[in-house]
Amino acid sequence: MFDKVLIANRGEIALRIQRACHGLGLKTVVVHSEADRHAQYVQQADQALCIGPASPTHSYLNQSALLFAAKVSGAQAIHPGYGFLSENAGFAERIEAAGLTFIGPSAACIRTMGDKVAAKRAMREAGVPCVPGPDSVMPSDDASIQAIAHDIGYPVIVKAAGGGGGRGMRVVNEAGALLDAIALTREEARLAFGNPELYIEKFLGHPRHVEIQVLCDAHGHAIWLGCRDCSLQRRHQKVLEEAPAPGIDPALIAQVGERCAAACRQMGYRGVGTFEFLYEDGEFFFIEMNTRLQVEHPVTEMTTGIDIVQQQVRMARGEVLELRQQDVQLNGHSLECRINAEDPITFMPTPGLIQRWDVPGGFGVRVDSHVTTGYRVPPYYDSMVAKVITHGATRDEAMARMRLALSELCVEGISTNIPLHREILDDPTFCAGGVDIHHLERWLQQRSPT
Amino acid sequence: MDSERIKGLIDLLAESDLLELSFTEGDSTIRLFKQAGQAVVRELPGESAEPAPRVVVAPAQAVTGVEVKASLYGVLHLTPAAGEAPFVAVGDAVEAGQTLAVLEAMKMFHPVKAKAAGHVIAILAQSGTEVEAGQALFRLG
Repeated sequence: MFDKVLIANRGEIALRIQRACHGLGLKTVVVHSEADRHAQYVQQADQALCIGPASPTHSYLNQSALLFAAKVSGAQAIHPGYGFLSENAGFAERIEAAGLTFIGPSAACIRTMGDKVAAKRAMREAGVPCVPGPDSVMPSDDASIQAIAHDIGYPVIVKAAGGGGGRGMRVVNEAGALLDAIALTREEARLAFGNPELYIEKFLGHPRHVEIQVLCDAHGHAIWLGCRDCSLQRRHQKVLEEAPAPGIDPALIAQVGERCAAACRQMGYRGVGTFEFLYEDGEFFFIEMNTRLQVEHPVTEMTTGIDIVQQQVRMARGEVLELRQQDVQLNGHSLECRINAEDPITFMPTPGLIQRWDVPGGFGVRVDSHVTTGYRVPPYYDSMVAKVITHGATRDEAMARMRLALSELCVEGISTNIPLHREILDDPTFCAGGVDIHHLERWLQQRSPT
Repeated sequence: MDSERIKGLIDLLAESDLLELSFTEGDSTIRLFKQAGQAVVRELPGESAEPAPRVVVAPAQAVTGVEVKASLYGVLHLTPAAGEAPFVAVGDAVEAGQTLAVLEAMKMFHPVKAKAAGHVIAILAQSGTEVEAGQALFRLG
């Protein structure tokens, strides 16, 4: 059983994982690029190793460097965090082949879920509700393709089997535009994912993004930890998340959650994962599964009281899941605002030196961030610099605490999207709950008609 | 080789005017490199023909042309992709709105464009390096 974990990531999630490991009495090895050398979480690691230059390709994505770092430091397990190599089946295989533990599901599970057609088929077989449309790769002849789209009913969406996270898809409103859209999407998919396979689904006009968190051990036990609503998105990037999803019948969520847990048992899933659904007109439709820890996991931690990252590490150590479904009690409501180094109006990135960094506090307020005063936000990585999370007995209380927390959060030196979050929390439609995934973009357009 | 020993070598290199140091003891070899200072970089072949306006504090009237500045802090790319020809070279005529370079910041690429037509007098920063917001990148005449 491992007692030293290499954290193959950076920023707030590297710190989050380090806290989980230290909480479990495990040693940490933090690897970092030259650009992240001076970050405080790197200094706090039991051991820190530089694995390459700033460019992610030559550092956080360099599998050989990561494996070598594990070897020289004596780390027996690797936590991939999110992004970077977290959903790379080949990396998971190389780690296991080196006799180390990958903190995540098996390579086979990552591979199945990475192929969106295979994933949909696996979900249908497990009884998880999916978006209408075949769970097989699109046929090659035009007549069959037209017939499929006709059967589904327009509008349809053409998606890349190797895509996901909002990339590699195109909406088609009528039969005349179908074949051209397919040719374009196929070429994009070939270039972007090295996989030209496509599939067709019904396009839902006004869905919400609702997801189910699961937790599984390697001994056949799987539970679900409630749901999250991540409908507030801009360009497929989540901006503000909450748990639970407001206004959805808990009995329906429980039914879908049970199906997700059953699917995990069926495919031998291990660790944490998220089933993403579109929710429209009282129905859930599976879109994809994320086989990793997610950015927004804290809102689930706040409402369940379960440390998801510690659980993930314990499951990778081979422990038997102590929690049973009846132990999962959902309390109150939680929100998370992603604080990004970007202009709140133009969304231009604003890397640079942070001259003042005052974080909020108080009852029901949590801040997950690797930033300290004097930290220089590097231009090489994601723009997220902090997650402000609040919890309250009700959604209204969680929102009130968030408004207060954001008013206390003071960042100088760079622009951030804090003003955007403050405006969102004053938007009556958002405050009423249950907005769809297009709400934020519509709202932004009305705000500035540029 | 213990860390004190390595630290000693680092200090030695830092104090010297050497750029590189190789040291072998038993089975272990350590190689240390030092980045050349700005003045040295500017004297590299290919750049020497151009003026070095950031180093020389010239009176304002001596500098001709219009500077194109970085709109944000990021990584400068003078070529559209690795291995491709640069967007522009010194002496090229450019049109208003023409892309001169791209700035990479947080997985996004932002074009650096010429505000008015002219020709490229000087390229003031190196491809692949970090540039500050407001830093002069090109001088157009």
